[in-house]
Amino acid sequence: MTPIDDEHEAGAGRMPDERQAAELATLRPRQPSAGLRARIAAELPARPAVAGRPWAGFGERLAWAVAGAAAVVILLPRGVTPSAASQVTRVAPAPMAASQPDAPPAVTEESIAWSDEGVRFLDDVTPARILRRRVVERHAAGDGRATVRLPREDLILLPVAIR
Amino acid sequence: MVHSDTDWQPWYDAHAARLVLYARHWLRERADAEDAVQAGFVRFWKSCPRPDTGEVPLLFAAVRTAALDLARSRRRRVAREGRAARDSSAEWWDADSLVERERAEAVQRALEALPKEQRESLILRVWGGLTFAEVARVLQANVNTVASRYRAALSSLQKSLPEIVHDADR
Repeated sequence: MTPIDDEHEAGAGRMPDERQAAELATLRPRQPSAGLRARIAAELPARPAVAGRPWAGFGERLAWAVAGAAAVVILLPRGVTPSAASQVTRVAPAPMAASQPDAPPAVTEESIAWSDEGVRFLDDVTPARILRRRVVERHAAGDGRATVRLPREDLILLPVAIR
Repeated sequence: MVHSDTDWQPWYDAHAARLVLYARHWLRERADAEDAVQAGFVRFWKSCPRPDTGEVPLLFAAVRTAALDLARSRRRRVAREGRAARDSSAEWWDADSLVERERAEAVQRALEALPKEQRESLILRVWGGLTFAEVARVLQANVNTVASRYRAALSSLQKSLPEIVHDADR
């Protein structure tokens, strides 16, 4: 026997049946009581928007960070090349010698705040703990003529194993 | 797409009435049928928070499981308490006029007289709006079996409700 894949195939040559079914379908199922929707709503609480897409808004934040970095490059003295200005290290460098006007700017950073946002699912099957760190970077030009304070926010994702 | 608590509402609007009707062919009381729909809907949505239209059969299957569980517990309670089956007079369909109401009651009586398997296939197909393949998915049955049950149900209704066939052929 050939399987029936859809209603068209199943209904082929069965027009009286289909007419009868169409006639039956004119009966409209009764609407449920108003309380049913409320009871379901009580069991399906609001989920934070980030739960479905933890990266929602990240692109926008990243764009602002890039714009901020570009602003720093523009503000730095002419003697500093953009590529050098974008070099960020997490280790406080040795003090710059005054005789090195073209040296890359020193960058130090200071943690302002940490927050633990708990465990979220990055997709349906990948949980991760989300830590957020707020930092202020201090960019000092090689010759010490300018210092720029640049706020930064780090989102740290730590894989979580569920057994 | 960002999910919020309102995502399930369009699904509820689209399917709640037909799910309650589906549950009622096991549960005579409307309140019990709504309980089954609530349990099935919530279970479905928690297990499948981003469903697409291809997953409608899973929603019906979830309500089916909840309705069968509830029907079993109701039967045990009725047997334990020695009571007859409770009132089943509430209609399955909306009816705006006396004629419609009489017709709806006649169809309901005819459906209740059908074998369960036939009735279930017919309700899922006609009022659930599912294809035969989707009905087969809900019932975990062969598509041809589902189609046979559906046609047998229509044939029985044709005998018990000739006026409906008569109206349809006009």
